[in-house]
Amino acid sequence: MDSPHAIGFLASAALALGAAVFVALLPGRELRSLALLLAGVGVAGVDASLSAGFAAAIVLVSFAGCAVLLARPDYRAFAWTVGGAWRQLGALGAALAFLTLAYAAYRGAFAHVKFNGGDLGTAAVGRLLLARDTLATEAVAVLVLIALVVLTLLWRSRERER
Amino acid sequence: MTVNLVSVLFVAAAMVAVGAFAAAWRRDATAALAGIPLMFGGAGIAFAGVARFASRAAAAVQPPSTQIVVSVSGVPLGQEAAVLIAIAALALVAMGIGLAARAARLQATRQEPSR
Repeated sequence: MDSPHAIGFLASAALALGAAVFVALLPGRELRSLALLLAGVGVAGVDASLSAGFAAAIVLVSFAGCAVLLARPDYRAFAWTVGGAWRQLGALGAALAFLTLAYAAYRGAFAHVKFNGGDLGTAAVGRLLLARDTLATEAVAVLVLIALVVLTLLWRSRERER
Repeated sequence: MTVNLVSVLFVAAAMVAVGAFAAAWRRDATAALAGIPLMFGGAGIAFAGVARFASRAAAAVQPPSTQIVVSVSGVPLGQEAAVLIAIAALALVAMGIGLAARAARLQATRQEPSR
């Protein structure tokens, strides 16, 4: 990886991780959504510096959609029914997961290779999505369809309650 | 400074951990949904990194051969997985927000008679 790609990777990684921490800690849904959008820009930058331009574009659209959904004006808070101790255990588990994954990455032995797949690779990814792994694409399409149906049903039930 | 697969996996692990932290830290379930794209984004970074630094390329060029190697990087399966994961994250957040809003309405209607 040459220097511009390395600088892009490091800057994007710093942006993604910093914004992700703000998503966890900031009060207010607008600020959190903005931080989520910035985290998406960072993740897309990381993907782009890894020569995955098409994935970067999709990630950016996905994070922007999530940010818009979380910043909706009819936002309704719903408190977890589980106790605070369980949530703190979950947060500690996240820290342990990071330590384990970081240790595994540090101790792993990886080969150094040349990459010649191009910057975007849309043709190769498109062939995979639409020809080789069509079943996986259709499974995700079914998930999206279920999500849209659930959203529509809930929206209709809310309209009836009004 | 060079970036290799270890650096990519460090960033991916940190993103997954921060996403899990965001999901566990928030008391509000709707706000906790913001952890899903972060965790899935971290997984996508790991997949894209593995596709970028795949050892399959080394395996393809290591044995001495007279054949011309046109493409040593193999098919970008990791990039494909990253794309699918990103779409799945958006769908799950949309479904989760709808379900959380429904649960919040039910919770409110149950609490109204007790007031």
